[in-house]
Amino acid sequence: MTSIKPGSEQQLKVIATYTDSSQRDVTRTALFETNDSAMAEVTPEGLVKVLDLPGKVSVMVRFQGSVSVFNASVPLGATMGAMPASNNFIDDAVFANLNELGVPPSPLCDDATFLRRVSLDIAGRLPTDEERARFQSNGDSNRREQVVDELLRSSEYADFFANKWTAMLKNRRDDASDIISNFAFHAWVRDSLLANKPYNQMVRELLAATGTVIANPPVVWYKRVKDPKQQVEDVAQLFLGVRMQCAQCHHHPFERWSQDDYYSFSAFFSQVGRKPTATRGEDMIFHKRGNASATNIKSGAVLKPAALGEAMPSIAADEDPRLKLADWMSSPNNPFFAKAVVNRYWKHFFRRGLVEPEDDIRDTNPPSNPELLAALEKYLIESNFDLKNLIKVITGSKAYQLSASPNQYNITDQQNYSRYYPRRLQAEVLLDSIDDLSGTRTEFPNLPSGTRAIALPDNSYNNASPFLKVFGRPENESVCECERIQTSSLAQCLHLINANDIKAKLSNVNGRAAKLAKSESVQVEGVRELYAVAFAREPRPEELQAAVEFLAEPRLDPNGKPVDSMKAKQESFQDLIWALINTKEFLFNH
Amino acid sequence: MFNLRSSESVKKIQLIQLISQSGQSSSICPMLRFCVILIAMHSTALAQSVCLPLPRLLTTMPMGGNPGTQVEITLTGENIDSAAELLFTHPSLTATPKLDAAGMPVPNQYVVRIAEDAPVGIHEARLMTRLGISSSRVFSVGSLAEVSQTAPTTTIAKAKQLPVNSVCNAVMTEKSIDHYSFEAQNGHRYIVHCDSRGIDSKLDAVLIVADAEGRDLIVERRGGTLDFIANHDGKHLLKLHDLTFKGGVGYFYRLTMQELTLDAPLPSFPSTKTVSSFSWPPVGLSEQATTNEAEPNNLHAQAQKIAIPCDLTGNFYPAADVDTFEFQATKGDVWWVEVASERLGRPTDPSAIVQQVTLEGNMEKLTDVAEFNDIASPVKLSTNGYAYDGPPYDGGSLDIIGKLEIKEDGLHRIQLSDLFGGTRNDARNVYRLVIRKAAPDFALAAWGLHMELRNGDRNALSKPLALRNGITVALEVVVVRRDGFDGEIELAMEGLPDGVTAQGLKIPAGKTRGIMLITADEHAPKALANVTFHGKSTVNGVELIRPVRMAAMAWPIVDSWSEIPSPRLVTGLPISVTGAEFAPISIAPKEKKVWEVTAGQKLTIPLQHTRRCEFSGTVLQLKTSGAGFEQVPRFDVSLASDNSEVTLDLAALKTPPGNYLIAFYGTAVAKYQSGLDVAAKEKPAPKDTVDIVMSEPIAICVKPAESK
Repeated sequence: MTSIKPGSEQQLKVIATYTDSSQRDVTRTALFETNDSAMAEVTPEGLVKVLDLPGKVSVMVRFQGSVSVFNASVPLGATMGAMPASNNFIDDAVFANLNELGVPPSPLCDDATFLRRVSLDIAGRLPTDEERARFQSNGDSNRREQVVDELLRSSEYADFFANKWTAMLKNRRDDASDIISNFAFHAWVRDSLLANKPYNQMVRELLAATGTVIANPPVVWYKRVKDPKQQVEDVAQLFLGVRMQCAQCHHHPFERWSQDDYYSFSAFFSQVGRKPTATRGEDMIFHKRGNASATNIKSGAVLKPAALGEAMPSIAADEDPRLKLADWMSSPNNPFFAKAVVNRYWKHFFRRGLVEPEDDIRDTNPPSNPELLAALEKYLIESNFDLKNLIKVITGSKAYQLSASPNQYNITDQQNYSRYYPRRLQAEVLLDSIDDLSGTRTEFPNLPSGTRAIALPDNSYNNASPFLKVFGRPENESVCECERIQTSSLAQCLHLINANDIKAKLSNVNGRAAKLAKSESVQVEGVRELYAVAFAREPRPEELQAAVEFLAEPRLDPNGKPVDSMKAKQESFQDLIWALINTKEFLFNH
Repeated sequence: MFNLRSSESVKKIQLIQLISQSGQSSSICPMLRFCVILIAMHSTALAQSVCLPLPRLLTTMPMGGNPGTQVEITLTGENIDSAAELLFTHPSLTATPKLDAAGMPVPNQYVVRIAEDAPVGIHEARLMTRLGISSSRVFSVGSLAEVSQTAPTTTIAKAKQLPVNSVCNAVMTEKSIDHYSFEAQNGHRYIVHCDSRGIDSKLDAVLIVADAEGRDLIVERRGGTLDFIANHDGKHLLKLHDLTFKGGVGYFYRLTMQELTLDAPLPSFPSTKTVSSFSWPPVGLSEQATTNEAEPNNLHAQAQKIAIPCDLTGNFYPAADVDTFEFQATKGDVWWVEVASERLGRPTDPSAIVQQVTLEGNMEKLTDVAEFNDIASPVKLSTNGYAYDGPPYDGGSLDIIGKLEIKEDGLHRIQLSDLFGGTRNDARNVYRLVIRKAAPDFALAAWGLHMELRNGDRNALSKPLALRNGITVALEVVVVRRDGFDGEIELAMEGLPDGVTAQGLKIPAGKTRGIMLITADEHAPKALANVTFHGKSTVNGVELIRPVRMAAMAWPIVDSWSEIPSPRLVTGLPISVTGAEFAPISIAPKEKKVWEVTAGQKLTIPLQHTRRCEFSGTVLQLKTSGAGFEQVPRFDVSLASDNSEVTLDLAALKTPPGNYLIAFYGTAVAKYQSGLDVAAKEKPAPKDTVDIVMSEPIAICVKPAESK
């Protein structure tokens, strides 16, 4: 890895070596592309211009069918002070990288911030009153670990991560009759996560699913993804972090995957049999006896199953090749499987994957911290693919617990995790949080009253909820998490400011504003309650003062007459809640 | 058997005769003219109904009781308002109407007496109503204490305390979760089970054991049993809901909470049987297999030695289990291989491969001899399309019946696996493997013939045999043939009520479908009888008589796209005649005789229409059912006429000489009103109601053409 100072340039030279050992400078005809245009630019002539963001950047060079990568380290070079004491191997790797780049980390966040952050990240919700009280009164030095353990035991953890996985697994309602399969599939994912079924076992049950929806819900994936080519592409991208789409028609331009690799991978799915059921559009899935193979449509070659170029031992006609694929994935030596999921989970907690995009792991797109990615991969394999353990070690790291407030040096850092990168709450979490703060619950069709948005089993609820649509809840059409819209928009701002559903929540007769208005306690207590729910902290003195003064202001109707005191009080609390909802501190996890 | 009572029949007969005499004298009787006026007023406002009203018993609450007790139950259903008797399939269960303080029967409430010796398990209840016998509903007899949900339990705060070793009868509330609490002791083993689909409920039960705060601990969503050992003393919660949070009166359940010793086997929970199970077991098979599978036997090198014929039991366990057996066989021998697992109620798909084992040097060479998979459905199944294309009753199975022809002397192996078992670890997935010499035989099942509608036909209705006077109804009968049996099967019923006749359009040799026609005479008295239905054939000079198992839908489903039909086998075959209503129309040959025709000639049969109400439309299109005449082109008869005729062209049909039984059938939209009820004083408005019109059976003798 070459170290290049910010603002400097580096000319690349591309030498092609031919089969007769002759060499030629092909710089002028090679193609250059950076993996992060915010860090470095590259001209068509191969001149790399490093910008001012610290970290790792690479430039992919292509010439005819060959690919090579130029990796550069861009140090900030600031003077490093004392680093936080390491909690685990994650901190070792993150802080070593920061030291190397000279990027001083932010300090650790306070307890209240941590509680809110980790509750949102693990359980997809704000901390409850009981959790806040318990945490505040807990004097143990490992109270943060205890909170994580408690959250991982909660149903909401399973709901939240089931929401994540079922979107990528395309649990989509296209027809009213899909409801049973969608609920069953969502429940299977959710129950598996709740029971902490090893990740490799979960994937095995999905990949090699057979039977009926009720008896074995993972077969629903084969209802949603019927085309064998789509199965190949989804499995590769979702579970292996490899994008195979291009290889269907031609050699992957950025990668080593050939058409033979594509079709030999698809051969694993060639013996998936289907039998009709009494439910429209639904099949029983079974292993069809026979020798698994697939034909390369270009060469006509009949190919046996091979896993991303790795030849497999002969698979007997009686054996389900998908089980062999699952065995290969679970192998401790598999170079893709564990890496893909730890990178995905890392991104969940840190906003940015060690490899970006998280499902495009390839030689030409190297990780920002290879040592850390390797260590996480090893950790997951050695812990028997224990996802709760993975979350525990991630959230137990000091790196995760750094403040979101930048120092004078790391404000430009986007990939080295020198601070917590704030992110807007995703649609479902935001809706639930607004419900929590306004003291209401959104009602969803077919589901019990009180069902949280993070527990919705499929995409059909987006139709009835403009909020979920505006804030980017996916339609479960893509295997890519990027289908979820996390960017901000004017529509989102307007919705929060003025939408009917928000106004209805604020003015709900059983909502928090109404209750606070009727409460005997002083207004200070009301303000403290709102801050506790919204931000998991006490209001600062100036905030408290401003809020109390606001609540004390007389309210006049459009005719200038004083509003009834109870009504005025309720409206004032509604306005205060509305204001809190529209703060960045509320809208973001930080 | 049902307990019978028909004390009202004599009075009703007289009334029927009076009305039918007046009806015969005029094309439209005065009563029907009145109907026509009403039709003009209301026809645009009324939607078309599918199937004439039939009595259907849909729920009982509670759904069970203990031997030696009396249970007060409340019923709901369709067209049961006039119910007079509640009948059970076992004589140890009897019922009388519940009486109020004034000694008057309380509508739809009964007192059920369960005798001390009543067998524990599931029984079926039916109501005898004005229209006749209703569809059946499961009623359980259990040994655990019975309790009932008396108030909503939809929150943790409202959780009902459930005594250990009890069964709670309850109904799920829509969009809700039912909560129960129980006290557990650390280290003790508890069984939680929810009977729902297996006792005719619509509930797809999700069972959750949670801690006292309601945090989920273990979940069962597949209708199975939760079997767990408590890890702490104190209160636990049970949460129960439908998979898609549906609820309402049809979503009833019996929740069992039982403590067992650590080593006790898991109890079985009786349930209704799938339609596919009618073909199991083969007649004469012993209850227990003679051999048990012995693991390890997954690999060829581990093959378990057996001798054929054999009868063994095993299970598909653990995941991706393969059971390998080896045996010596002789060239030219023919064996039959039968496997039951799906028909035992397990969610499995057995597959078997037979290979011959030879040696090439020191290496084994395996040569495929046979591969066995599913038992095909005897008739084309519904594909769930827009319109009807086959019944939603699957008489086939994922199990195996197959012929094994040994091609060479020597060692053979059979490998058994579950095509659904790649990733599932469930030791309850048992199977029974039988390899036998040919024992030709057959198994029969029947259900109410589906009515084909022109558009959007997706109904799946339960059709109790509550006959209206003058009606002919059809049962579709299917056969699973075993071990090469290919013969013709005659269908017959015995013990029919007075005035009811049944004639089978036999199942021809090599075919798998027949029709049974049941006709209630126009003057038949009100009656109820438990009928025996069987098929008869001859195999190698020996007469075989086999029962026909009846199947029915657990619920009348109007649209199978919005609700999945739930067919099952039912117990018994009660047939009733209402004595209170007529069929809208009866079609019969003018003469009741055997119609003779010479092969290659034409036969004209005059038909008589006995019309008892108005119809929507003026034409009834008829098809022909019955071997030898299925290819008769569709023909129209007038619904405005009392007569028609049909000409059968035997030259075109190429029907060979012989004796035949045929019937004509179609669908007509009757302006139905309970006004067809001769006893009713006030007539409700007529309603367009579409149903099958089946002619009475017609016997035809095709004589050989004279040789020239």
